[in-house]
Amino acid sequence: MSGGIYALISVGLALIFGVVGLVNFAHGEFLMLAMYIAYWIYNKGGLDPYQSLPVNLIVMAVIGFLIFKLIMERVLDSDHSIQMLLTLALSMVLQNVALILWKADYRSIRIPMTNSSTNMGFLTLNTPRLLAFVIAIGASVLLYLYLQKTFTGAAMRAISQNGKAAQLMGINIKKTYMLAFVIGTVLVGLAGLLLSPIYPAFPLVGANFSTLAFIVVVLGGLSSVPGAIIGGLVIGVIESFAGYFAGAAYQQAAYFLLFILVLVFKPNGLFGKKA
Amino acid sequence: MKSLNLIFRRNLVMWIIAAASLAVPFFLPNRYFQDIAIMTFLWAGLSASWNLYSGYSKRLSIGHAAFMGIGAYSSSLLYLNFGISPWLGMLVGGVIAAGAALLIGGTTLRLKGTFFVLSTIAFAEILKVFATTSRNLTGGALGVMVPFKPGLQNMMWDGKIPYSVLMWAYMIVVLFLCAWLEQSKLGFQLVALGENQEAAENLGVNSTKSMLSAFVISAVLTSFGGTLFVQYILFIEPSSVMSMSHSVQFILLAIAGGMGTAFGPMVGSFILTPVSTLLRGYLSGVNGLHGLVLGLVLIAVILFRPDGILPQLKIFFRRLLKKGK
Amino acid sequence: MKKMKKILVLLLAFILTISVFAGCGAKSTPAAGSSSAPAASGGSGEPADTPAEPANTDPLKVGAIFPLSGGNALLGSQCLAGIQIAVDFVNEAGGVQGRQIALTEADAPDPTAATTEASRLIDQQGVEIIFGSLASGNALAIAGVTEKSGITLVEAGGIANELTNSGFQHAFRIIDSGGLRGGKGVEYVGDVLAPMLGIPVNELKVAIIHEESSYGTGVADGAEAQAKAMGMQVVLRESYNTSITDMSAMVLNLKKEKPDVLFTANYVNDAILLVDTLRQYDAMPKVMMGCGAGTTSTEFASTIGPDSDGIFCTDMPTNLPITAFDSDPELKATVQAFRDRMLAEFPDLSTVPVAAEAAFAGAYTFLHNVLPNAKTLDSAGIREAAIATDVPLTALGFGWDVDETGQNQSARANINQWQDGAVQTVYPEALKTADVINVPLPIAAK
Repeated sequence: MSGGIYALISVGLALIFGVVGLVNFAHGEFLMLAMYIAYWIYNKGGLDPYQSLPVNLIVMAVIGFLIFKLIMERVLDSDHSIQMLLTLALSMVLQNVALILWKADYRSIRIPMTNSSTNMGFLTLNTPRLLAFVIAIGASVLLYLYLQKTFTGAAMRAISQNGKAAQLMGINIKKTYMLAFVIGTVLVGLAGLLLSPIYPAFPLVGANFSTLAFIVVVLGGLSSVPGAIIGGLVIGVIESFAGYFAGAAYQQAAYFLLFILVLVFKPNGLFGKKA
Repeated sequence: MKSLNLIFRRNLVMWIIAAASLAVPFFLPNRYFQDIAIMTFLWAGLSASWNLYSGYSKRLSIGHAAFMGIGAYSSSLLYLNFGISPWLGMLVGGVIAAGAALLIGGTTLRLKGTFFVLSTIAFAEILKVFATTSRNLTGGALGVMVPFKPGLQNMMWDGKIPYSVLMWAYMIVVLFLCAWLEQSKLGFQLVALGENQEAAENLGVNSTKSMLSAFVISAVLTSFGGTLFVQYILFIEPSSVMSMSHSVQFILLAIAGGMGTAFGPMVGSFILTPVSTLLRGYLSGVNGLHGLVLGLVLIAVILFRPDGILPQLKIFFRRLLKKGK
Repeated sequence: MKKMKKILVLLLAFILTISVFAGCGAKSTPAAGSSSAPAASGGSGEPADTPAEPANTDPLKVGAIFPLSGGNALLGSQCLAGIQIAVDFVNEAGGVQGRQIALTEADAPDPTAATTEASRLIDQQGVEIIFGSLASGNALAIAGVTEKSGITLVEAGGIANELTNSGFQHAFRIIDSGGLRGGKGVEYVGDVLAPMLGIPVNELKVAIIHEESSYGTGVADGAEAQAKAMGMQVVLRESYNTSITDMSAMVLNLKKEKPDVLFTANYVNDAILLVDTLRQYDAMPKVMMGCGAGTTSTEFASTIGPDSDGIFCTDMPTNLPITAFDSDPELKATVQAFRDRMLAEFPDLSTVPVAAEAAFAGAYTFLHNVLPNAKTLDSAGIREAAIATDVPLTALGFGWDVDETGQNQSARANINQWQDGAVQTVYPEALKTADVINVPLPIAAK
């Protein structure tokens, strides 16, 4: 069931990588920020995460925009290693800002739904997880349609396939980059919001998810959005199976192992383009 | 001999700074600053080991902490269980690390860009899980504590000075190998592969062979650093020694100083290790402040000095020398 | 030649800069070199021959090393607050042997940082005693440094057995070691709860789930050994990394085995996730026996809500009723004052966190009871006093009776239970604050 959330986190990452070409190691920290926003709205304003969804996403869009303008825009032409280092430093800053502002406490949102279950006939599922799964898949599919059906979407795909050519075709590269970055941030924000009723917010929460998101994205073939969706689901399933049959201690090792196996046999990921 | 001459001539000032830094611990007022100096040398050596492969070939490995763990565990387990001196254990660790590097490199080196980066993370994580779960071999999560028995054969000393000499020597060895690499055919091939793999291959560079050999050298050197690390700290556990934050540390230092240059990691470590340690020491009043400051400094360096500090430093020295003439 | 000269000049300049830099650091703490030097350097075993100067009124420097950033920052900062309060109390009462106590804190998110920070406190700040360390790995790393310098380490958090069986001369632990705690929990289940459940001990099915660091593993080892010794059936033992985000698979495994009792050792976040997942899959065993850290933290109960009623948490004695200290009115007042101040400083908390109370107790006992007995305030004098001192009752509800290894032999673990959002002690009888409730748990699987 976690697969849906993994997919949503990863879709944002894949979009940013695919279009902007940026490996964003601070992606998990955006997740953390969204969880805190959901928590504070719930705590101070009494709105549960689903009610605060529009506000939360707008704030995330603004954060994404500011970070892009202030920092990312300056390194768009730099080497990959420089970009990676920059996002690493950014994640360090965001983690510590959270620690200073909000302390290391675990901030949980408890709504009646947290421990309620929905009976689906043959199996019973935790409602927030089910909801997260459905919304996450829905949002990912919407993004996919957006990329396929709209002009800006087409522009993004064009850039991700061939940046120079796209520029020659008259696509405003910077604006498209910014849009992709903001959409990616909003998507991971949505994931954080969906996660907040079932998982507490704390400064390092992003780290628990970001490595996973990277694995998912690579499995899916790096810049492929549908690949990231399916990759997320696959990882969710693998994690559960490994945890059940081999033990929780091997849960993480299992998907790393799968990851390496995939790379050995399909070096461009499950859905990667042929080199 | 000509190449030896070249190795030293090319970076004369840097070599002198590297050599002179040995003297620093002797002048430091107490063991805290000596400890910082020791860690500075060690991190310089480790970061330079990482740089030897990843820096020149521009293919970032974020899993090098695994090799550090291999070195640390090999020597300490051999010492604890069989009484084998860490000096020998270090060599055994190097052999094991070489084997692991061949295995890992064989499967991942042909991967492109980000695929490679993430596969190194995956390998390091798998190794960490292995170290955590095989309790009979490694003591699992409880870690391994090396009893303190000072003596040259045990690679342990009461004072800090012998450690600082040891770590310095390690740094120098790695730097020398990097500088040698820069002059060698292998080095040129690596840089060429980093610039444009296809073009290099078309020019007849055997990419697999040259990348694999550099990767193995880098892994072995990193594992040596792991042995030195455990002989100094005397305690290891998988979650800290093999953590991704160690791998990231290698990279941060190298990039801050200047990636793919022999002395970049050293410059990075000489500046960042003391600064981050002192920040942690003196900003402990507000939890997290030191991390915030360090992160901001790094962002500033990247935005304004993307090549790292070393090129700036070189320009500075060149001007200084010219003015004097 | 000329060039060589210039290089030489440069070199000198470089060395100068560095030593000036270092010098600046040293100057900020003028006392580092003077008063504490003899103790620091005389640590190799011989008692430093400090002449008996009754006029020594320099502050006595002590340090505290806890993880204040990183994954364990929450518990670490609570511990530090506990230490600070202990120091304040002792200072308000006139200090130790007429000397005020000056506390320096240090942040050690991992063992490597712990060694460097220990070195800073000892060699740069000149502390004589270090309080620590929450995480067992940090405790062992710090002990390596303090031991070489002959500085005293007072441990009130790390429960790794190695700390007191590795021959350290200057490390003293006030609380129990890990194995003991796990064993106690199992013992109680076998002796008291099994009859209540109406299940013979040798038919009792036990599952053990623990986080995989040294703390969880140590507790689980103790529990497993004791369970096997008592003839229980250990049907499942699983460990996980605290960064785990989904425990479904582990819980499904547990559900398959249908254990009667779950022993578990966790940190905060994962303890909550475990209970949540158990409830979501309707897999909660009849008894859930948590062992410290996560399950005892106030956030555990406040997050889970009323369903926490009846979950056990074996831990060092904590939040004892204030009447437990009736035999020592002075200590009673101190404990009350500590709790009041802790709650005033952390308005979000409903009860004082265990880790903080233990940190306080360790520091307070050491400064208030042990040090006044020391003939000299150096490592040898302190060690002698630590072993010779025998306190019948400390703020943790047990005594101080440290043996040659540095382990407090009076330390024990209490069986506690969550009742109405508060930790109540249900065993041993002498410290009992409430009767056991909810056996089996109302939220247990049918």
